Amino acid sequence: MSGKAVFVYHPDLEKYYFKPEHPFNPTRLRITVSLLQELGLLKENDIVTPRLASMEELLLAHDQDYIRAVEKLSNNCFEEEGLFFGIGTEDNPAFSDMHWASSLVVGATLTAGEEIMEGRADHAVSIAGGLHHAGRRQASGFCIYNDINVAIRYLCHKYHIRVFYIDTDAHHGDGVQWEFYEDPNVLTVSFHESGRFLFPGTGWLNERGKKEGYGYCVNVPLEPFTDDNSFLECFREVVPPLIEAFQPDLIISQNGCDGHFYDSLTHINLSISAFQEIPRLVHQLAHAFSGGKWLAVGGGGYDPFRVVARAWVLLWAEAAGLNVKGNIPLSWQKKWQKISPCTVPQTLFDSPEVSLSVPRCQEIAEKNFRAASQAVQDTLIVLNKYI
Amino acid sequence: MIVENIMNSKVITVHPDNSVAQAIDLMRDNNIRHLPVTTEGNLIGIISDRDMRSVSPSILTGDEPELLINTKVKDIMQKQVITVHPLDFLEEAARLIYEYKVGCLPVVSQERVVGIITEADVLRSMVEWVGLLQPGAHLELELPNRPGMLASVAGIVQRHGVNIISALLFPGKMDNTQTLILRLKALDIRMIIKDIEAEGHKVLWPLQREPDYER
Repeated sequence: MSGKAVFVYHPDLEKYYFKPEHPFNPTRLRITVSLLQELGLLKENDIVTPRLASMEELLLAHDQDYIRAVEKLSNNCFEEEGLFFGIGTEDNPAFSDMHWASSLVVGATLTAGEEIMEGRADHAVSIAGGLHHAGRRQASGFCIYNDINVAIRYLCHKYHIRVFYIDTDAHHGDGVQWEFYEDPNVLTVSFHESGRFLFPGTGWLNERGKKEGYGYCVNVPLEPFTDDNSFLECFREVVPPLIEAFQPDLIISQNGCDGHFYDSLTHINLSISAFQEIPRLVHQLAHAFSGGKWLAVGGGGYDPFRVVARAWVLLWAEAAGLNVKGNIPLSWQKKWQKISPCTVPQTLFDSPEVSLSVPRCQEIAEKNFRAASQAVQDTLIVLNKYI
Repeated sequence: MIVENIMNSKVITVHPDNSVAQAIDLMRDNNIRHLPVTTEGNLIGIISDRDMRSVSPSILTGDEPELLINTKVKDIMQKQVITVHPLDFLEEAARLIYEYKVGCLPVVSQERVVGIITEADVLRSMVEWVGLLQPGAHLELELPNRPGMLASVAGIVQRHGVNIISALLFPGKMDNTQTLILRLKALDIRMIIKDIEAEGHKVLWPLQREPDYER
């Protein structure tokens, strides 16, 4: 498969930084880029510098009083009124330059979208993006502005396109789902650990969209300890037929990698291989159904050294059509071992001995597959009727 | 929470002299299953979709619409109606619905129907109470059945600056325990869980990771 890919990045994106000890650690961006460079996978001319999102653009997916509050809290992090908007909590503490840094994250995803829609690239990767929990007027789950929502609104408005959104973060992509819940031009699919176990506690099978948007929202809640086989089986059951029926102009994937078994915030048991296979499938589907147009953003991922760097190296390698070899350069290991709380990995993939199998894996796979089949059914009926 | 807060005060009623056919239309058009029967606002009976079904001809054997037009509501209505007062607790309404196996309760004040509350209203309220409509994390604990336990847990949550969306405390499986279900407005509740466990409380949910491995 061929297709030009760009990597939207600037070190300033690391300024989206809540506080020390916070699980959302932007160092993960730097170590990912560092690993890409050490592996020789990222060239200077692959990189596109992100622009800043404007106020008008933020307003496409956020309320004015919320944006004003974020601006205000960027200068004084201790304003009481933040709590009303979900800011100032342990999850989402205010930080200086919060508005600027969050606008840059949104801008990065906008830049990625423009690169594709203006024909300068087929695929664009914005690993700083993927803040899928933020609502119109609510910070939530480490997300201040929702770069995905702003980008979808902006791109749909400017280019009159229909967007297929795939969210494989271990947490439900609630912010994106609710924003486009009544919109038949944006089909959202989220695979996530069941709301019984994990924040945000939504993403049930029966959340299928509303009014004209009925059927254009698909949720596949997964059991804790779901492994690669079960996850990919569900993905293959749901995503290809939906994309084929929906015929999108653009595919956006949210590539949260907190479903890896090392990630301590969730209970999903994926190995690194899954984070190669998921983008590979999306990539193929983009070439088959959306003229190659594929925008990939990052998302959750709370084990930077063992998971995020490797997962997103594979994401970029897939988008750029590059082959990856098994070992991680010693220079990278040496450089980052100094600040890593755990032993940094020596190989790009997990060795089979480390991967986990739980006794109930057969049951889990069965339950997941049932959810996937049900999830896809209703939407296919709607899509095949109207398209 | 009192009945007045969740009841529907726009009550669609039927007159005892209306025909059964009219009552059926009224239910179908408004997508409801119960009709209080009133004369000048005073409750004298009730009819439900089940009463309607039992007097309607079977769809298999064809129809006798004359009979439905000629039969009056007062001939088939239930005259003994279980009601609640607007100031009753929601719990009381829930108990009556459950014990008498009825689908709704007319809300009566000074003999006039001022509202209606259905089993669906009760369930919707409970869904709202447990905060299911807001993004949050579910935490379920087993606590010793003695004073101060809720305060101990709430103190830990407070120290983490996390807001509690909802809290349900009820008798546990054994006499000496209580179960506490919290919905917390937080994505990352690992430290809260750690502190709660350090306090000696048992976390029932989220289930902890099954296999133990190096991390």
